[in-house]
Amino acid sequence: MSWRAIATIACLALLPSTTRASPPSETRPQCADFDPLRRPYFGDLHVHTVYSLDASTQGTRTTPAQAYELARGAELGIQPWSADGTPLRRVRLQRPLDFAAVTDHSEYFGETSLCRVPDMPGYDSLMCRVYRTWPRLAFFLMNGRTTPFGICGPGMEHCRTADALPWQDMRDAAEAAYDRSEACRFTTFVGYEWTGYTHRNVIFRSAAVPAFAPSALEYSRETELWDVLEKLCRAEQPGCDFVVIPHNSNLSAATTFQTQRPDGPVMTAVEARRRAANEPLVEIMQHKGSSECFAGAGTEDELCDFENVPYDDIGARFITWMRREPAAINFARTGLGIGLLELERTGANPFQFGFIGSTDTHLGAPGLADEENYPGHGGAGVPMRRELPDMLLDPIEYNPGGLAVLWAEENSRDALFAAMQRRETYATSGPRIILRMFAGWDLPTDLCERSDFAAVGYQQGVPMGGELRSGGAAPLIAVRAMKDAGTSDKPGLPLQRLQIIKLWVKDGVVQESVVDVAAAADRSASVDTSTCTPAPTGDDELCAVWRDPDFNTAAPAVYYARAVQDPTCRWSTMACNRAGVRCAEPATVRRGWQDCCDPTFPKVVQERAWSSPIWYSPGG
Amino acid sequence: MSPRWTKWTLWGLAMLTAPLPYMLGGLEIAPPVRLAFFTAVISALQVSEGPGGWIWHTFFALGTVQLVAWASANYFVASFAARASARFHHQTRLIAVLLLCVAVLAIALTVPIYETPMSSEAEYSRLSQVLF
Repeated sequence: MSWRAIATIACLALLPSTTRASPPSETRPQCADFDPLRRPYFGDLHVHTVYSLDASTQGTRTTPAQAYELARGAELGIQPWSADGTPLRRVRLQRPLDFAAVTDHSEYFGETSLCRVPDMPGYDSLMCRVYRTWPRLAFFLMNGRTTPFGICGPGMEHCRTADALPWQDMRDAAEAAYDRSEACRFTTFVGYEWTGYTHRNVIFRSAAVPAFAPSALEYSRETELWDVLEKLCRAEQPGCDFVVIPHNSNLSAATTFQTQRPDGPVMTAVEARRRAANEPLVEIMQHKGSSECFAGAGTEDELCDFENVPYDDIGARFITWMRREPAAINFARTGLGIGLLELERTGANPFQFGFIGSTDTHLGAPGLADEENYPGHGGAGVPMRRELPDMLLDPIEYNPGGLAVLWAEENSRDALFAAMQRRETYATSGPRIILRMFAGWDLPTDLCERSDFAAVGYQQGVPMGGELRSGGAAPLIAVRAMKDAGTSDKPGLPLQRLQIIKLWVKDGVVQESVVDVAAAADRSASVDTSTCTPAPTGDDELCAVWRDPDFNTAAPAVYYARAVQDPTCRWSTMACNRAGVRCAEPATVRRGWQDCCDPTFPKVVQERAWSSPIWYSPGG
Repeated sequence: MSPRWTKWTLWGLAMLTAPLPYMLGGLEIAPPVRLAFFTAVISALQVSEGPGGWIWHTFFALGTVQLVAWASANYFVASFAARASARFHHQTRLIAVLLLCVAVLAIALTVPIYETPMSSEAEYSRLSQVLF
């Protein structure tokens, strides 16, 4: 028996698992820093490169291989481009990522390949000329087309052939960048984005993946996506497995957490279990806003006023008269509550999901989630300029996005994928805050003072993402957060408070409470918005063991933690300051910078981390 | 310059340079010639690529309706201006129209007066950029 197998068995014996264990998908040495008590690995599972229609039509030229190089610490040139193709901006991460997945939109893989590769049929067509010459117009027209393109040829022959090119390159790039040595410096996942009803990323466990990336053009509903992935991956490809991760529920026009389509039946228990199994995670933080909750929409939680995009449909980004304020059902917290109601109704919870963050970069720049020097979501204002325009480079409602954090024994595909499946994950809004949570009936109340926090947590409780299965008086929840250590040049900011958000069902209605379980003694931290100099007062670490005072053994409940940093300037404040905009002096508010002075958007934010929830089910 | 030529010259000038709002994917404030260009591209693509479905039809209909509306409005304004200028000597009218054309074109070519978020090249465009 190999060392790796022995270690794996030992860990499985030590750690209560909430999901099925899979045999290893690959043969590789155990990582040198293997830790049975698991470490947090930081990464980005939502990255677009030149292969996404909406990235390439914004001037992005980054290839998947270059995106992975950036994630590993290399510098990357991005748009705008000079006439000779020299990038006019360069970006680099302050710290490399531990893992990443390039997740280009699989819709129009073929069409965009035909238009980009000179030898392909259709390259000289009018459609492809529009794509290359008026990319913004092409973006609208290609996305808006509901019938096959003529350039695809009879029976879509040309597009089907061309479809394979980006998919193969994405697979090759993931394979080449994956560190299979004992150093385990960097892990990649093959993945892609399915852009249907609600946008979803598909992340594959290993190099064994379907021969093509099923898109929303052929499989328009999420159930059809699961059907085809279950068939092509789990059933037909040995070693293939996947998770589907919805994102931007905030912009999904209430579709993400619906349990009944307007034209369909109510979700059954079987469908609910299938959804929970295929979609164990939801991306709640990214460039296009936070999807945790929305201030004023079904909550009085004051900290829900964080990176809220003020409309509920991605189409309203462009068609402003379509804009309407988001309802609570667009947000993950409400989704968790609906899940509890469904659990009572059918006995199965379709929305038993953990949290991750990511960027959704359309520059091919994974992990670039710092407020400072945020280069924007896409194309620096417009795609084909030869210089940076004098304007705010992103819609002001966007933000630098977040990171996905996975608690795993080592930085390998199998270990990280298992973390995703068991939901032992959390999201951050960019900083590398370390957040850990356990719940159990018998956790020691002095756990925060002990050095064996994790060992006891695993032995006597369940980690984030887990389920409390047996009843007791009231569960104890142990939660610990450590500030982002930062770098020597730029240390991280301390933490202001640590909260537990609880949802439970009472008389058929979801209730919510938000409790500060730990807080810095001095919460007067501030930031000078004219210089963006912070005056932190928080703590480096916050920890608490909290017993739910209102626990009802008969009521299903869900708990998650939120660690909140001291305030810092928002990216837009930094950009506006750099541009010399002073709202009190109208002459400095140039065209393109007016949003700097829009009072709707805060000048200061409190970065944060959200743990995946822990569920309690009566008699579960 | 006859009133008839005055009318058509002013109409052409307005179609080429007047910053007018229209909706096509997003709201732009640009000359109707840009709207005409987009509409022509869409119709050419409908021919070369085949019918594109309801969104393409909507784009084409939106472009056509707004183009007709602005062309008509500009026609009425130009007609009114031409009638009003009929009292002047034709040479005076010629000089006035030429000066107006030069001034308007100079402004349109040198100042980014158009708002063109659909543009591939510039959020705020000069006349020379509105077809990109």
